[in-house]
Amino acid sequence: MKQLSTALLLSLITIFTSFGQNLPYVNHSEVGVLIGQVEDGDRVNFSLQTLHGVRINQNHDFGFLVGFDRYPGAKIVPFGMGWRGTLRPENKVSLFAGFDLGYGSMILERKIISEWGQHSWFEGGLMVHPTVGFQFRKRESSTMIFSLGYKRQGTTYFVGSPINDPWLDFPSPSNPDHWHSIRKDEIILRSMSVKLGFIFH
Amino acid sequence: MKKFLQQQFMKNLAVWALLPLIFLFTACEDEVVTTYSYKTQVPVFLQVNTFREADIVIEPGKQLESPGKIYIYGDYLFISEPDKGIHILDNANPASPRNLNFINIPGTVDLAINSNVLYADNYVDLLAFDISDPRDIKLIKRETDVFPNIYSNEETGTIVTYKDTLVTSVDANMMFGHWGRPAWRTDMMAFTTFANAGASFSGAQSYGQGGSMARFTLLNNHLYAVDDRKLRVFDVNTPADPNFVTDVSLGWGIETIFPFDNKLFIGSMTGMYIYDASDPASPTQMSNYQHVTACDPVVVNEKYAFVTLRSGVTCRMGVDQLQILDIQDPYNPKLLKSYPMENPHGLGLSGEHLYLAEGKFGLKSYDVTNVMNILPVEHIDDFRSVDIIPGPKSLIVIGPDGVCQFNYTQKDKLEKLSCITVGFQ
Repeated sequence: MKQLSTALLLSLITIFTSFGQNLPYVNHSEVGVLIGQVEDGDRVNFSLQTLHGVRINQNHDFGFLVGFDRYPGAKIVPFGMGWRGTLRPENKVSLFAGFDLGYGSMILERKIISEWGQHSWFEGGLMVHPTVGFQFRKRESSTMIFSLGYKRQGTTYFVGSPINDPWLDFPSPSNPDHWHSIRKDEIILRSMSVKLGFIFH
Repeated sequence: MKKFLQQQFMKNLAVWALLPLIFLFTACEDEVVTTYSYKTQVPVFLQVNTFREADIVIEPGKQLESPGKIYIYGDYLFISEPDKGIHILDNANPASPRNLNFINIPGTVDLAINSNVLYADNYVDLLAFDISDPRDIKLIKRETDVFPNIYSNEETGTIVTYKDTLVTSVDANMMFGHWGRPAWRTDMMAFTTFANAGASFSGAQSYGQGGSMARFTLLNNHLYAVDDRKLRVFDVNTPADPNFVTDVSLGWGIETIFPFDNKLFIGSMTGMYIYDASDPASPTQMSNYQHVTACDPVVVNEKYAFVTLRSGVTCRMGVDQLQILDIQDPYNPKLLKSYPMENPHGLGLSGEHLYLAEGKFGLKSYDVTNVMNILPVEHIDDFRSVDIIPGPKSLIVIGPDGVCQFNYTQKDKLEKLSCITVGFQ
């Protein structure tokens, strides 16, 4: 999965650097919180994201994004593609919308093998993040944004005891024959995002 | 115009984006779906009558699925498929063994051969087959109730076996520990089936030959069978008529048995027992060499015993070593030297050469002329091996991928002759 994440990231960079040759560079950097509900109460988690892309025209920006979300129990690095649109860019205050689609990677989470040989680890999943908000133009090259959004982040958590097979080097979570027991938690983290950020171009 | 259209588009988009968000904000609860999967062993109760009355069917040759013990007898190889039966291969030419027959014996683990009679266990019974013509095998005797340890109720004739079963559920009550018992298939259970008996010839009887991880063995017209606690003795003076004589309690964790020079060398998880079998019907303990808990096959020659200790799941505290013991006084075996190994399993001794199966680390050979300074000769690291039988025509090496034969006439260079790979059917 890690290799897949890296490959995807690299290909995205290549794509955008190649077709962005003639279009102006734009950067959206946001910081904020993800508010959600867990079984026993609310959670408020730190979130950071930066989108690097091109200004297709006055109203549309498109690029690749990478972020950092600190959920309870796991730190996720989402990356993918993002679109940002502005209704009236010439106005001082304008309606603003965005849509991010990508993969929440677990590269910051290590696989843990307990003293008793129990393996536990996370796998990443689909990230979808639509937002709406306002943008406040401050200067020619920088604009402040405030957005509200819904972030859906999938992830899977595994806890398992592999079988005592001396020939088995890497137990596979998808092969039940490799495990005495394995628990799979398919988790969908649903959050409201509240973010503040800047657009630089 | 273009700008106007873009603005209209953005306006609509903002409205459409807002609407679902309003709905979604109300549903910001995390969702967790948990699936529990685990292997368990489901007890299967069997009436002894069901397998006693069923015919033992001799089937045409089948592909190997999970080879267990191997026995060389004349030009033939007998390879057990634990719990299923025994494959018979024509090995007249070790470079191209041919699959002949498969004897379907449910509940079998081990085999031994004595003067054209094949002995195999069938749950609680011992079976004897006439194999004088391996193409026409006949069941000649069933000695009943000689392995009674799997009876759940002897009076009603009910035995219990355990079947590996995979359970998958999203019900929280099905968490581990709530139901069933987790599968506990030890590597001892998996590998004691890679067993065999040592080369021995006695009187007019000709015994087959095997490796060092045996559970059945033949010596002085007696068949010795070890389970994890007991040594059971059968009189096979008349090969076609095996008779249960007695059993001897051995403690626990008994793994292998190796006969040599009227003695039985029994490898257990805690040490090596030496039994005097000069009175074959009642073996008596001569000594018990204790070592740390480890899994340990044994081979011996006139002076020395070669014991491998390996760490594993059932031998958690174990070490990975080859130990050489002086057994010239069998009442007082002495440790001469230990050599560190990677993950040693079975052993095979041929003259001054020791062949050692190193599990996933391959196959090694040593010159053991001087036991205080054994010399590495060869290391084949691309063949996963569990047990080794130095046969008259070839060195037979058993691993999880199949059974391979090597020409070992040139001691410093093994030459691969053939491999029977495990088939997936």
